[in-house]
Amino acid sequence: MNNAQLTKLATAISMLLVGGSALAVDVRFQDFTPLAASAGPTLDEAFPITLSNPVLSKNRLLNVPPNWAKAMQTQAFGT
Amino acid sequence: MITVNETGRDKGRYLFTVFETGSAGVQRQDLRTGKTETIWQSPGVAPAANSHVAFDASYWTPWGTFITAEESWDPNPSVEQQTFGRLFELKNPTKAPGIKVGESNSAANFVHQNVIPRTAHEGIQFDATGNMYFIDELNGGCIYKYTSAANMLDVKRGKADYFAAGTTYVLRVGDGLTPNATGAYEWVAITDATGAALPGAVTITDLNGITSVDATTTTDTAEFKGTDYQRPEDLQIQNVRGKQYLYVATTTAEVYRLDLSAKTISVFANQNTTDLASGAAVGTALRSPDNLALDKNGNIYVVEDRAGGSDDDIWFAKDRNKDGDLTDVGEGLGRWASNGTVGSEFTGLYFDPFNKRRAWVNIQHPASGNDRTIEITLSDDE
Repeated sequence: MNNAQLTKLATAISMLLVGGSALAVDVRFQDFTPLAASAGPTLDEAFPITLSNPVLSKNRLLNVPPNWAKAMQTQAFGT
Repeated sequence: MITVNETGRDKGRYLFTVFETGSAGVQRQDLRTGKTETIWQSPGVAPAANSHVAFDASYWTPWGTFITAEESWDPNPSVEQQTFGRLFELKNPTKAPGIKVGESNSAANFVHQNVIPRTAHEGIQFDATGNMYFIDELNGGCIYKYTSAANMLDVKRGKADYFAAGTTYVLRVGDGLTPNATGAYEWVAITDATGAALPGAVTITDLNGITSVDATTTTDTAEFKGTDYQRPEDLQIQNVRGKQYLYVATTTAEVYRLDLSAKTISVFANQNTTDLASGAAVGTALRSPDNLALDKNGNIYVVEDRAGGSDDDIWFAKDRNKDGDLTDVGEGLGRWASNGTVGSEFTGLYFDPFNKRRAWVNIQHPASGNDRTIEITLSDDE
């Protein structure tokens, strides 16, 4: 194998490594650490749920329906 | 409970939920625009004859309509609830216009499907061949199956009405006299193939003059005795290696699993199940299972109807080998989420069938009056 071939091989390997690290771990809802106890009263009903993984996402207020939900929001679930 | 339009044009675009109140209704949210509308509202308030109470079920049918049903039902002729216990089909769920309070529902094609006997409805599920399963939510309530007389392919093509005629059956283990029984079961017909009560089955005529099969009373008679379970609640069908299993939550802290092909029922989870956080039996930490959910990976979640801000949790059922019990090494229940809103309960955990990173759950009946639908998403930071 000459230098050019070695360079190509090294490039290919590095691309594979970079590609591998860029592939996200496919986190699933089932990947969690069980909560040891129930949540106490929340201070902010906009974020009412304690999730078994850290909350990451922004809150999203979509609408104020007339009869039912006064708000719809998002809460993220992830590691 | 919650669903999206799971089939048809624009599938996955609209999120549907219902009002479990004394003036029931149906809400649709356009997930693309965020616009939320009431698309059907009870014209009357209980106990009026034109009232509709406590919609709880919220499901998309295999032929592309929306169904809901009343959880409120009591066959006693002296009580107003006798008018309720009905299943309704909204035949134009994505097209029905939004309405304001007091406006007409006339543009919504909303039909009482009287072929389905009266029960205190909640969970509804369809199996792969089109059978519809439902329950009667009361202490001593039974599990039912409806088999349409119509060919399912014709129903899906819009050439036949699924609810035009069909047979309803009740689940019976043994002689039906042992409550909470497990083991082999059979389906016992309580109607004929048109949906009419079989001789000896009990009917009621409600305030509107509509006569229906009273499933609650019928399945307490010797001839039609169904096996009693203690407040059956939600249902969920799971597919494992080509077979279908029906899960049933009951308020007395059990989740049962029916093998629909082998016709057996067994306990999937109860208070003896291991708490994955402690390694000990979950005990009274698990109470009042209400709703069930299934994620994209076929996992079952158990949603409690308890006091928010105190002990209202969602439990993940870790069945590693999907064999229908949680007794193998590493299996059990793990507290997956907990509701902190005082006075409220979780209802309707629903995983988006088109986005494996998204789910929704309602926060219902809080002390503040601010009901909410919460979207839960998986982080993409990994």
